[in-house]
Amino acid sequence: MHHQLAGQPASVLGIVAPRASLPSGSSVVTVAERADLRPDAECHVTGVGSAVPGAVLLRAGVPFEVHGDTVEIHAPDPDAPDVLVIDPGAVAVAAPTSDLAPADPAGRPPFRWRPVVLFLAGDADEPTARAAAHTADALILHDVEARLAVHGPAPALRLTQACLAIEASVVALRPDVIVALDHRALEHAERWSPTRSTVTVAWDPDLGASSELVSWTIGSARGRLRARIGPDVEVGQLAALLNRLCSGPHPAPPVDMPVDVPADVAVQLEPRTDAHGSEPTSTVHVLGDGAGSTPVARALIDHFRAAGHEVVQGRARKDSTSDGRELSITDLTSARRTGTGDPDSTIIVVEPDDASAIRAGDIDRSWWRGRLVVVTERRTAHALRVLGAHPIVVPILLPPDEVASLTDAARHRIRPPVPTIGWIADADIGSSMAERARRSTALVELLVEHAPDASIEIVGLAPAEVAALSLPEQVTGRSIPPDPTGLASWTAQVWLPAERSLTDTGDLRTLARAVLAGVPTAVVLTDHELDGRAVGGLVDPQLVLSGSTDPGSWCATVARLVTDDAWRGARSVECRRRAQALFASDSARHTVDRVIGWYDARRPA
Amino acid sequence: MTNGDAVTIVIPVYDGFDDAVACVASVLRHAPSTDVAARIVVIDDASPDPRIRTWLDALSVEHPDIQIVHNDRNRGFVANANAAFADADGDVILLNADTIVTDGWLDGLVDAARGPDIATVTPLTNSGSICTLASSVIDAFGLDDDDPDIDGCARFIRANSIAARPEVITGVGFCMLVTRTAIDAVGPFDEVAYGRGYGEEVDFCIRAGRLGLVNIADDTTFVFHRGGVSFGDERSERMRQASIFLHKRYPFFRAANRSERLLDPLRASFTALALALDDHDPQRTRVLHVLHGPPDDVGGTEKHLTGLLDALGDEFDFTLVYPVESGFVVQTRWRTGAGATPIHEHLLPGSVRWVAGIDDPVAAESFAMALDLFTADVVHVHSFNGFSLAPLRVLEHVDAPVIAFVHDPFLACPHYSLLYLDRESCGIPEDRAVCGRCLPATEQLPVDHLDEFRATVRDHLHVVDRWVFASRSAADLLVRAYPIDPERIEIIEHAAPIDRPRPGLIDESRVLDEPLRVAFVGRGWAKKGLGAVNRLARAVAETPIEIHHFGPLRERADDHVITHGPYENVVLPDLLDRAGIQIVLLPGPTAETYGLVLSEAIIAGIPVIGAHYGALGQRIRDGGIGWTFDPTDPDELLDLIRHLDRCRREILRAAQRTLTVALPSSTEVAARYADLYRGSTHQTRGSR
Repeated sequence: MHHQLAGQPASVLGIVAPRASLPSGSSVVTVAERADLRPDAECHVTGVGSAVPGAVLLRAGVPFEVHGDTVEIHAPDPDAPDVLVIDPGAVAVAAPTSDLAPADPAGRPPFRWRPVVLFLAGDADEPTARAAAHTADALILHDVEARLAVHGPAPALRLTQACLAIEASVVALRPDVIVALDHRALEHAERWSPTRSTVTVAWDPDLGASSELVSWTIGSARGRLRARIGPDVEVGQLAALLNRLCSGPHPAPPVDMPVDVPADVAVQLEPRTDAHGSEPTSTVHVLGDGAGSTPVARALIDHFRAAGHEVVQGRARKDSTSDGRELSITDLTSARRTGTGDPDSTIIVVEPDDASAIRAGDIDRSWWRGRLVVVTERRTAHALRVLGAHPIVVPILLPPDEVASLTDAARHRIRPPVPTIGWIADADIGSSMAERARRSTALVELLVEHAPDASIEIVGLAPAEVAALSLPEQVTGRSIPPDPTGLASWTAQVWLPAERSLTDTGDLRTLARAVLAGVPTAVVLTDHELDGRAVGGLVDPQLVLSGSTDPGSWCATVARLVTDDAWRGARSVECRRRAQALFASDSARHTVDRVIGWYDARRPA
Repeated sequence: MTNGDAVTIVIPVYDGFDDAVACVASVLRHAPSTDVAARIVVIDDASPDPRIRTWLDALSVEHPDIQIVHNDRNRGFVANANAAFADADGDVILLNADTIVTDGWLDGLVDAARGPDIATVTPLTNSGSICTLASSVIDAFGLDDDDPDIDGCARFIRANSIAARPEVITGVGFCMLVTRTAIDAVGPFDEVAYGRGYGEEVDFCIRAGRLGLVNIADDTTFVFHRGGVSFGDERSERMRQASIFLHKRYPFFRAANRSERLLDPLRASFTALALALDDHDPQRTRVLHVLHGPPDDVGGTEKHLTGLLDALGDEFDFTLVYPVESGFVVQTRWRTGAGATPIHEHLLPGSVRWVAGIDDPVAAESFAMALDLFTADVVHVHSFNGFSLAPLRVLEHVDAPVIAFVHDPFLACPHYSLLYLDRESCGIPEDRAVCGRCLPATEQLPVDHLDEFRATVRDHLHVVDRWVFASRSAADLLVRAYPIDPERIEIIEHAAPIDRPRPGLIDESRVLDEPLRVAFVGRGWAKKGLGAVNRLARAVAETPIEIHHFGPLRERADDHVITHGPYENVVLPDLLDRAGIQIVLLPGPTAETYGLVLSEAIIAGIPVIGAHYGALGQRIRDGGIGWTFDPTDPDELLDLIRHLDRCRREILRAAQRTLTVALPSSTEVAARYADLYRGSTHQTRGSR
C-alpha cells in the first residue's frame, strides 16, 4: 500500500485495502498472497467522504473516522477533486469464524515455500483441538501454513479458518505434513494422504518429550509416520521439525502411471532457429541534437546496431509506417533542454556523471515521474525509482569496436622493460586540480616506497601538474588515458580512494577497459561498496581492498603485482577470464534484448 | 628352501680388475658380521689381464679359506655357475664381479630363502632389471655418481623396507641366491642353449616356476651393481639372441614380462622407500582422504577437498588416494622441516578406473596397501566410487578413526541419482519390487545386487566414526537406507562456492519493472530438468516472460529458451545480473544433497525455485529464499511462474531474504573439519 501510495498523484489521498473473507482452510497469509495476484487493473477510485470497509493508508494530515469495520475519510479541501484508490491486491482479512466447511482449494498458498501442515482430528476431544488450534496459530507466525480440520465445534483461531475433517479437505489442501490428533486421524492420514511426499506426525498428549522422531529406516518404518509431538512442543522447534520432515525422503513409493509428457526432452528436432534473431528488429530513433554523443548513449546505440537493429537520427515522420517496433533514445541533457521525446516512451540515458546531480536533487522530482531511464549504476537507479522514474540498470557498456581493440591489445601485449603502474586520478573530476594533486601526493609517495623500481603514470593530471608536485622522478602524469596498446602495456592499474568513491562516480568503464586489456586493477572500496556487484564482476576479489584498512596494506598489494611475477600473471589470467565471460560475443544482443523487454513492459499500451 | 649346508658365494671374474677387487673386498668386509656359514669361490675365467692372477694369488695367501679357481680357458658364466652348482652342497649365490655387497646382505638373502618353495632370491640394486630402485632413491644416495653412498643406501633400505619380498617371474643374474632345492629340482643352467651367458637365469627361473617353486625379490637387501660390464661389446647382441631364444622356448614370456613390468610387484616396496625419503614431522596429524578421482578435476567433491587442503595445510599432513586408469594414485602433501609442502605421487597396483562389483579385491588390496604404507591418523572418505565398497571392509582392520563425507547417496543405491526409472525421486522405497523395476532398467543390475550391496554396507556401518552430510535432508535420506546412529551424524554445510562479498541491496527496478526472467542454471539435460524448462518456455512463449539457460547443454533446448552457454563460475552472479535475471530455476527431480547453484544464487541475491524435497526444499524453506514445487507436476511450475509474474512483490520479498541467509566461509567449514580431525584422533576403536 505504501508503494502504491508513493506512486500516485497528490490527488489520491489514500489506498484502501478492502475487507476480504477467510475461506475455509485458509489463512490470513494465504488470503493476502492470493489478493496480491489480482492485476493492478482491478484498482479503482472512489470519492472521498464515503465510508469504506477494510483498512486505509492515508497521506499525512488527511482526517478520518473509524466506524466499526469501516473507515470514513474527510476531504481536507472540499473543492479539490481528491479520491481514494481501492486496491483489491491489498486486503484486510476478516477474522476466522466458527463455521465449518470442507477446505477450499484456495486455502492452499499460491507461493509454495511455507510448509502446509494440517492438524487433523478424528475423534479428538475438545482440549486437544484447542491446543492444536493454539499451536496452528502460532506456527503461522513461524512461516508454516498451519490449518486445522475438525468435526466440530471449531475452536477459536486467530489467523486461520478451520475446516471440516474430511477427505475432501485433505485433498484440497494437499498438505506436506498431517499432524494426526488421535488414532483415528492417524488412520485417515495414511488413507487420505494425497501425495507421495505427505508425511504424518502423531499428536501424543502423553509424550514426555516435546517431540521425538519415529524411525523411517526401511524395514522398521511405520508407513508415513515420521515423528510424535506432545502438547508442550515449542513452536520454533516444531517449525524446524516440520521443515525437516517436508524435505523427504518420500514415505510412499513412485507409482507407475502413464506419464503425460516424457521425462526426456520433448522437443522437435527441426534445425534451430534463433528465436530472437527471427523476431522483427526495431528501429531506434536517436533524438536530440547531441544525442548519441555521450559515452553510455553512444555505446547503447552501438549495441543496438551490433544486435542487428536499425538506428536512425531523429523522430519518425508522422506519415511514415513501420511494421516493426519503434523506440526512441535520448540523453539527459537533450531531454531536459529541449523536452525531446515523449516523456512516457522515450528512453533517457543517464550518464554516470549525471548521477550526483540526481542524488543532489538538481532536477525537479516531478520531472522524473514515469520516465524510462537507462543507467549503469545501481545507486542512481535506486534514487530515480524513489523519484517515480522507471530506471533499468544495464551492464557497463563499451562500444563493440572498443572491446575488439582492447582484446586485440591484450593478445599482443608487449611487456615494458620497466613495470608501469597506471594510477587513476580522474575519479576526482569535479574537485579542483590542486585538491586532486594534494590528495594524490601522499599516496603516490607511499606507493613509490613499496615499489621503488616501478614507474607510475597518473592519469588525470597533466605532466606539468605532476612536475609541480615534486614527486619522485619515476612518477609522470598524463591528461588522458592511454590508448589500448598503452593500457595493455601497464603492469597494473590502481584506483585508490579519492574524495568520491569509485561507485559514487558510477563510471566503471575504466575498470572494464583494463579487464579487457588484461591489466589487473587494484580497487579500494568503502566498506558499504564491498558488495561484489558494485564493480560488476570486473575486479578480481583478491584485488578489492577495503577502504577501512591501512593504506600501507593497499600499497603492499599493488607492489606485489609489480614484484611477484607469478602472482601478477595469475591475476592477469583472472582478468582475461572475466573479460571473456562478461564480454562474450553475444553480450551486446543479450543487453539489447533486455532493454527491449523492459521497454515493452513499461511503455504505455 | 635353503638347507643347513654352507652357502657358496661364486664370483666369476673376467677382467674388470678394479671392480672385481672391490667386489671381493666388500664380501670379505661384511663376512665377519654374519652368522651364515659361507664359502667363497672366486673363478678366474682366463682373464687376459695379468693383474687378476697376481691379485688372486695374493688373495689365496691372505685368505686361505677362499677357494680360487683358475680356468685354463674361458668357459663362460654359465659353465662356471653349473660347476659351482655341482660342487656346492647347499645354496649358491651367483655374484657378478661388478657388484659391491653391503652389510647384512648375506643374512638378508638367506633369510628370504627360508620361505617355502623358494627357487631364487634377488636383492634390490641400482641397476638390475625389475629390482632396480626408484630414481628418487638412486639420486638421493648418488648411486649413479662417482662416489655413491652404497652403505648409506643399504642402511636406508633395511630401515625402511616393508619386507614384502614379493614374487617375481625371474630372478636377476647380477646377484642371485639359488636354493639347493631348486638346483636339485630344476638341474643346471642350460649351457647348450645359452653358451657363455645371458638369459640362462631367466630360463632357470621359468623352469623352477613350472615345478611350483617361486622366485622372490628381497626388498630388505641392497647390492650395488656397476652394470653393463659383463660381456663388454658383446652385451647387446647376447641380449638380443637370448630374448629371441626365450621367446621361442617360452612364447608366453614376453607378455608375462610386460604384464609384470606394468603391475610391478615391487611397487609398494619402492613407494615405501620413496616415502621414507620425505622429510616430514611425525608429530603432525596425517589425514588420508579417499576420493573418486584426481583432486584437480572439476567437481564439487574436488572443490570441497581443495578448500580443506588449502585451509588446513598448516596443521595437518594430507595423503590422498584415488583411482586412475592404471591403478590407484597415492598423493602426499606432507610438510617438510623446511616448511614446504611438496606434492609427491605414487602409483599403486590396480586395474581399471571404475571397478565393478560390490567388493572389488584389487581395490581392496590397493586401499589396504595405501593404509599400510601411508600412516594415517584419520581416514576421511569422500567417495567410494572407483573403489566399490572395498574400503569399508578394509577399514574394519584399521585403528585410525574414519570420517565419511556423504556427497551423494551412492551408499544407499548404486543408482545414486535415486531417480526411479530416471524419472522421479524414489525416496528409497520399502517395496523391493519398485527397485526390481528400476535397477535393471537404469543400471542393468538385478535387485539381488542391491540386497547384497546394502547388506555389505549395513555390516560395516560401525567402521565409520563420523558421518558428515552437507544438509540434514541428505542425512535423513541415508538414514532411510540404514539405521545410522544419530550421535555419529554431523551436518557441515559447504562453504560459499564463490569468494566475493554479498550484495547489500536488491535492484527493485529489475524485480518490479522488467519482464520476468527466469534462469535455469546448470548442465542442460533431462536429469537436471531440461524437459520441464522446455515445456515452461513453450507455455510462456506468447507472454513477456523469458526463460534463460546458463550452462552447457547436453541435450537440445527449446527454441524459446534463451541460451547463454557455459559460464565461468566466479562471474555467474555478474552474468545473471547483466541478463536481468530475477529468479533462478533448479527444476531437476533429484533430491539434492546440498545445492551449490542455490548458494551461487544466494550470493547473487536472486531467489530460487527448486524441488520441495531434498536439500533444495529444505534450504528454500529455511531461508524463505524462493519457492518449491513438485517436479512431477509440470502444471505446478507453470502456475507458480505465472503467479510470480503477477506478484513481483513476492519476488522482491524472497530476493531480500537472500541477503539475510548466512553461507559459511571456507575458513569456517575447514575449522569444523579440523575439530573433527582433532577430536577423532583422541578416539579409540573401542569407543566405536
